[in-house]
Amino acid sequence: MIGYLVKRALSALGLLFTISIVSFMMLQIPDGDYASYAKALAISQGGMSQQDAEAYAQDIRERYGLDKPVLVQYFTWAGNIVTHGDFGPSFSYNKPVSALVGERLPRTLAIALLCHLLATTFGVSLGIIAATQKHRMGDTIASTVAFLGMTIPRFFMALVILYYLAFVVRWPYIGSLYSPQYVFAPFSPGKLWDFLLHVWPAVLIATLGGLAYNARVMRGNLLDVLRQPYVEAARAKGLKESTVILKHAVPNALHPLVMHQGVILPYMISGELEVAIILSIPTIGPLMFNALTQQDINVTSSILLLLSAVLLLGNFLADVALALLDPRIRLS
Amino acid sequence: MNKRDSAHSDVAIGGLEVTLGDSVAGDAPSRATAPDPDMASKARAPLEAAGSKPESHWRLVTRRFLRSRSAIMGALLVLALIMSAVFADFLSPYDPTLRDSANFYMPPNAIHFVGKDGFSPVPYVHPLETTFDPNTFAAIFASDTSKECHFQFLGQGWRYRFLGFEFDRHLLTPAADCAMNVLGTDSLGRDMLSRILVGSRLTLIMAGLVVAVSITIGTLVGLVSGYFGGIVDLLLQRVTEFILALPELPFFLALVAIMPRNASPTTVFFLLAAILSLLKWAGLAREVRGKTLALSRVDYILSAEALGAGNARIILRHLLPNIISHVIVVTTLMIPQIILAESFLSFLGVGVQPPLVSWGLLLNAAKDMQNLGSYPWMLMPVGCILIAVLGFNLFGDGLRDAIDPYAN
Repeated sequence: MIGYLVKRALSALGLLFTISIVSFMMLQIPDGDYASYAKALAISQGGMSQQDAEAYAQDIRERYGLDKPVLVQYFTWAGNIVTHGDFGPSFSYNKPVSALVGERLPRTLAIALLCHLLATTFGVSLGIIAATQKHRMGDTIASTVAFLGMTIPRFFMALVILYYLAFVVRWPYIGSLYSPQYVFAPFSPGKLWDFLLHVWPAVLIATLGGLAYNARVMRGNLLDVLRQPYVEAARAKGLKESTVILKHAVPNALHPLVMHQGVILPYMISGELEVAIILSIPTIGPLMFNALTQQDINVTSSILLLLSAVLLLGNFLADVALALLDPRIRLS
Repeated sequence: MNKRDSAHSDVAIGGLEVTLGDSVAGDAPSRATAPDPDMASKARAPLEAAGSKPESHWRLVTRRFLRSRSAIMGALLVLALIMSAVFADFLSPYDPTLRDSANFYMPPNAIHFVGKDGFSPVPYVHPLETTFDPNTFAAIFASDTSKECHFQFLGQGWRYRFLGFEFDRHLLTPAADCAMNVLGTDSLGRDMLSRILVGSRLTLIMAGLVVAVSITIGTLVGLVSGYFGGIVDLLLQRVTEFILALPELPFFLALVAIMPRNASPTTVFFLLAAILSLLKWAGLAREVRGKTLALSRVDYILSAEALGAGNARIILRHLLPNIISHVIVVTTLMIPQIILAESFLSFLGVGVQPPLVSWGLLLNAAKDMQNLGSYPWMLMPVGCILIAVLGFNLFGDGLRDAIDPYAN
């Protein structure tokens, strides 16, 4: 098992390295860098002359090392990340990227994990209901919910909820994370409740999709397991139907679901990003979108790298969980 | 293989050889591997005498597909969508690029069939009168019910080209002296209905293009990787793994941001298609590889090899026919994903660029909170996206169940 996990970890690290190169190189491609953006801004909004602006741009290039060869820029960037978690400065926010992302990434992850938890709990329950009531009322309802949850576009739900909250109920909790009185307040139950009042649309939307996915996988697995002879045997020896399902069938139907968690996590994260951009919940989504429109290289590449790292970690944890659960993987 | 056994259960009475020979995999491989062609035809004879011909794989698929009501609904939606995209010009009452400075941000105008002269199959609308609120200066729209503006059936309207010919007939042509915008107008007074109809083209072309590219790459990579194995497999698998490890949405956003800013809208369109294709092939490649690996050990592939068939022949004649149904299902289910990705990017303003029109781009008008509040009907294209996504998903699910009824 140790050998298996070491192999998985090494391959994850290799992937991470490749992703870091690609994400950095990719953002070098466009002509013009942050300095040219600052120059244009200085001319158009600061009223600077062409020469002054060029000197200003040159100054910025030197300050941030943008005039050095790309390879040098990459190794400084990657080296700083590995040695002291420094992702370099964000040009447009004028702050270290680590501070900017460090502030927002935990929120994104917290929301995504909350969604994950809810989606797993409700999705698995829905899948069990659907499988045990195959082709009856419960199955039809659960399958319809699952189908709609997977097909209704998330940004459609986000737009509709945004319109409804903003213009119909005039909900005061949109476009931010906390109400003003809680922003600097220390943690308290009231603050947590306020946080939930702000983020529930994102949680709801991202959960619905993941729930649908889980329910589908669970229904299929459980139906397969219920056809097995040992389930028949359990029934034949007179066990209650609920014991047969919950004690004998469900635990054995969970394995493929654990394997699918590696797929569901990116789904949750991209769902959170999508909804957060539309509802402007100050998490990673809007930050990344703004950084992209301003060609803020360090921010975008750091986010891409960090999210990839999170996903690789998630996949690795799913592998570990699966190895713990399933002796066939552990021993092979 | 039990799906084919059960599919042939009505045939099995005729002779065991036939069901066995046929049940391995379709017609092509069994013909190629049958040691004695005469034997098969001899075995077939009693069947034909009994009056029941073995049904082909696709006949069975069609029959199972038609049994599901939701699948038929999906197929009809997809068909309607494609037809309306093809005949978008004919169906559009107005020129989608025609600006009308007198009628911008008009709300949808309901169509009526029963008027003063009784029922008429050609609808009419009541013209909208615009007044302004004296305090807030917000536009107030009221229908002038005393007037009826009638559409003209197959009347002459704006000119368009179709299949190289120029036409000016439209299904419903609006009256010249009346603003008849059934779904309202946008910020420049362009007719929303016409723009949605014409926008469906680009949305569907984008989906078709991306799916064609990623399916081709995915199938090829999967087949080559699974069939040849060794160092080729190792390399291709690393690339696939890398693509699969990338978080999709952030990667799209990152790639979109490096597109040249001054590129023409057509270039942007093709670059966008390339970007979307870049990530989508990997999942399919992995599935195809798995299937190919399993199939490579099957007897008829081994015997084809023993008979001296070349790699190209084995891949094209023996492996491809066996994975093609899976590929078709993946294709239909991938289309809605592409529609959604394109729409979301265009909605954000980083996808398809004007003057091209796509559904997502039309939605871009609703991105601004102020617009969304004042002109909520700008959200209308979302309805079309929803219909398209539902249609393709129902169709794809139905197809999957019909092709492989034993997968979950």
